[in-house]
This record gives sequence, structure tokens and C-alpha cells, in this order.
Amino acid sequence: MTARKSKFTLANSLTVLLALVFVQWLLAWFWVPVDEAQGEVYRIVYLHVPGAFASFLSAGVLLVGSLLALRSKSEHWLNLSRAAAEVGLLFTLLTLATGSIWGKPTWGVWWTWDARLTTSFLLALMYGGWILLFGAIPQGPSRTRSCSILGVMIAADVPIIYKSVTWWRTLHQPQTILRTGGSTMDGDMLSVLLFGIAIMAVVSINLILVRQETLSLEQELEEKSLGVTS
Amino acid sequence: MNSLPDATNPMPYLVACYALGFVFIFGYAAWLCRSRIRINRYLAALKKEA
Amino acid sequence: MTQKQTAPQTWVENVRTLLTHSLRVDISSKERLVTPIFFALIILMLFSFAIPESDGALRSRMMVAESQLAIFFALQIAFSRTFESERVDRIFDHLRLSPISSSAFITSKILHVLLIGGGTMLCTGVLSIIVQGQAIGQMADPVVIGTALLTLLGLTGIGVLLASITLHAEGHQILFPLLYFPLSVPVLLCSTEGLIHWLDSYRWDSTMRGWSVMLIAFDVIYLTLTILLGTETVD
Repeated sequence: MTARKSKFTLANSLTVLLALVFVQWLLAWFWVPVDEAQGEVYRIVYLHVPGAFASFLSAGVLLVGSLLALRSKSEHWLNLSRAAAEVGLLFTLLTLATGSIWGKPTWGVWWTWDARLTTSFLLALMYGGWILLFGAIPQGPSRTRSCSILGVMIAADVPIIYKSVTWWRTLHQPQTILRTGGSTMDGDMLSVLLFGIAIMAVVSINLILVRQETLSLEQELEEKSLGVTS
Repeated sequence: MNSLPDATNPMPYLVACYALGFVFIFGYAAWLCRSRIRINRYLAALKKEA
Repeated sequence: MTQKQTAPQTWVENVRTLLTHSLRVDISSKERLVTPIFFALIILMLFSFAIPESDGALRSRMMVAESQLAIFFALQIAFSRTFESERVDRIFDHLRLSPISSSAFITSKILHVLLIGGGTMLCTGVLSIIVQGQAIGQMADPVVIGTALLTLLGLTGIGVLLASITLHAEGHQILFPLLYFPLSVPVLLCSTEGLIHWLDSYRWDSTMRGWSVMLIAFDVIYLTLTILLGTETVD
């Protein structure tokens, strides 16, 4: 019963968190002052940057899930990795899509092979590859091991993606929040953005946990239904 | 390609981004809840059968 | 119960035995060695159709890009078949019964792939120079060779690990390149950018140093991951 109770708590907290995301979007649209250089279109930042942070965070969860699965050889942790890869793919695609839409009015093109765009695109491919590999190996210790190893490799690639802006000259604007010498953003703008990042981080973790539970329940259901039919 | 909205009008871009955000995040959450409800229903049915 | 007793081998001897065995298998079935080179030649021919003739800085860029990609694709074919002999000969089943350590096995595999990859790279490089009408002396530069070898090291790390991961996957012929291409981009990027800079200026400056250090860093990351995690897959 306690397990069923905890599922309800997670699902309920997801509703509250999604409401908070909505509140942050309202603040981003109606409360935050307009940017002098870019005008109204800059408000995309309040969705784009939190999405990007969530996609990186999912890679962190993928790493944790993979390491735990490698250590314990348990399907339970593999489900965490699977959920992280799925949510990571979702947020990476969102980041790419919003980045592309933002690129049109500011750079004049929908897509360019700029460093961060390219590396985010690669991250999306890697998350997709992980999910494909998961589907291609039958359930068992071999799948747990192979997927976990790939998970560690993908997570090792994420710092490379984050650092790519400084390594490779690009069109992309330099980092505005986490930089030496303090942020270049206005106080109100920064606080709403940081609120957005925090909320999206919690939402992504919550989505991962709910998905992990769903995957475990699916397995339980499969085992039970096999038991009934046999 | 010429039918794209004018770059000086930011609203189409803004609306498109947030609409996508809504579809991705809220849509995924809704799909999760739906699959959870279905699984719970199946599990309850199996329990009854057993 | 009447198994033949043999003197226990050291780790290095294990690696040597496994490496010799793998090379013998490769030499006996020559198609494994020839196919990647044949494939690279086809790619070079396709490039010659698609890319116009150029000169100056653009020519060096084109040459690097064409050679790199031809080598990259040829290596992908070679890597994806890393464990082919083990699959066919059911060596894994024998390994389970033998006292050979998994680290010796994975090290022998890395060395094997390095040798095969080095050969493939050399042949493809020479073919690429001939096909593109360049002087071989230009490519016999120590920096060019060093960068190529460092690239091979990084790609081998990724290749061996991915080949072991996708071994039991359904449709691994498709899955392997799907995972190999995105993961190898950092290595390929450093190597290509470094080589282009070198062939444009022939100056060992901070840019060249930067790309080389990054290439070495990626090699270390990927090889360490392969040795650490590869033993897991063999186990």
C-alpha cells in the first residue's frame, strides 16, 4: 500500500509542478521587462534555457541510473536510465525546436551548424540511440549491461557539449548566467530565468521518476499476466 | 519560404515556442498519467481474476 | 574431468595469444581485411563526383575532409566486425571455461583493432592521395601522421566498446553506425580542425596545440572508458 501511496504523491506533485511551470511562463510573458537588443522575441529564453538545463540534467540521471545498474545488475535501475533517456530526448528536442525558432528572427536562419546546435543535435541522437539499443536487446543481464555502458558513455559526452561554445568559435551568444565576473542579465530577468531553470529541473526529475515507476509497473503487469495465462 | 512571418513581429515565434513547450511537457505528462491509469486498471483486474 | 593441465599464462602472454589468434583468423579470411579498403575506394570515387576541383587553402581542406571521411567510413566497417570471429567461432563460450581475464581479452581486442585500423588507415590514406593527385610527401609529415594515429586511438576506443555493446542487439549492423557517428564526432572534429590548420599554415601555434591537447584528452577518456567498461561486457 505504501508503494501505491508514493505513486500518488509523485503524480500529485507533478500537477503542482506543472502549475508552477505555467506561472513561470506567465511571469516570462507579462512581468519581465523587454530586452533592449532583441525585443519581445528574447522571451523564448525562459523556455529554451530551462529546457536545455533539463536535458543535461537527464544525462546526469542517466549516468546515476547506469552506474547503479552496472553495480547492482538490477532491472530497476535500468528503468531509471530508460526514463532518463526518454525525458532527456524530450527536452533536447524541445531545446532544438525552440532554438531553431529563436534563430530565425535573430540570426536570419532556421538552422545553422553552430557548435551548441550541433552538439545538442548529437545529444538528441545519442538519447535516441540509447532508446533504440534498449529496444533491440531482449530483456536480461546483457541488456542491463550494454545499455548501462552506453549510458555512461553518453553522460561522459555531455560536459564536452557544454564546453563546446568556448572550444569552437560560434554564432551562439556567450554564456550569460554562469560566467566569471557575474551575470550580464538584469535582476528581474535573471530571477525569472533561474526560477524557470529550477522548476524545469524538478519537473524533469519528477517526470523521470513517474516514468520509471510506470515502466516497473508495466514489467510487473507483464509478469503477472504471463502467470495468469500459463 | 516567402510566406514566413515578418522578423519584426516576434509574436508568431513566441507563440510557436511556447505552444511547442506546452505540447511537449504537458502532453508527455498527460500521456504518462494516462498510461499509469490504464496499468493500474489492468493490475486491479488481474488481482480480481486471481 | 580429464582436462589437459597447462602451465598458467601471465596476463601479457594471454594478450599475445589472443592477439595472434585474432590476426590469424583475419589473415585466413582475407575478405575481412580487404572489404574496408574497397569500401573506402568507392567513397573516394563518390566524392570526386560530388566535389568540384579546387586549389589553395580550399584544396587542403577538401583533401583532409575527403581522406578523413573515407578513413572514417572504412574504419566503421572494420570496427563493426570486431567481434565477428568470436560470434562465429563461439569463442565467448570457450572463454567462460578458460582462465583468461576479461581485461586481457579486451586489451587484445583493442590492439587487434588498432593494427587492423592502422593498416586500413594507411591504405586508405595512400589511395586518397593518389586519387586526388597529391604528393605523398605532403601527407608523410610527422604532424599529419601523429594526428592520424591519435584519431585512430580515439576511434578504436569507441569502436571496440560499441561493438561489444551492440553484439547481442537485434539489427546491430544498423545500430552500430547510429551510435558510432555521434559519439565519435568530438574526436573527428579535433582531428579535422587540427589538420586543416596545420596544412594551411604549417605552424605549431596555440590553435594547433589546443586541438592536439583536446584530441589526446578525448583519446584518454574513450580508451579509459573502453578498458573499464569493456571488461564488464566480456564478463
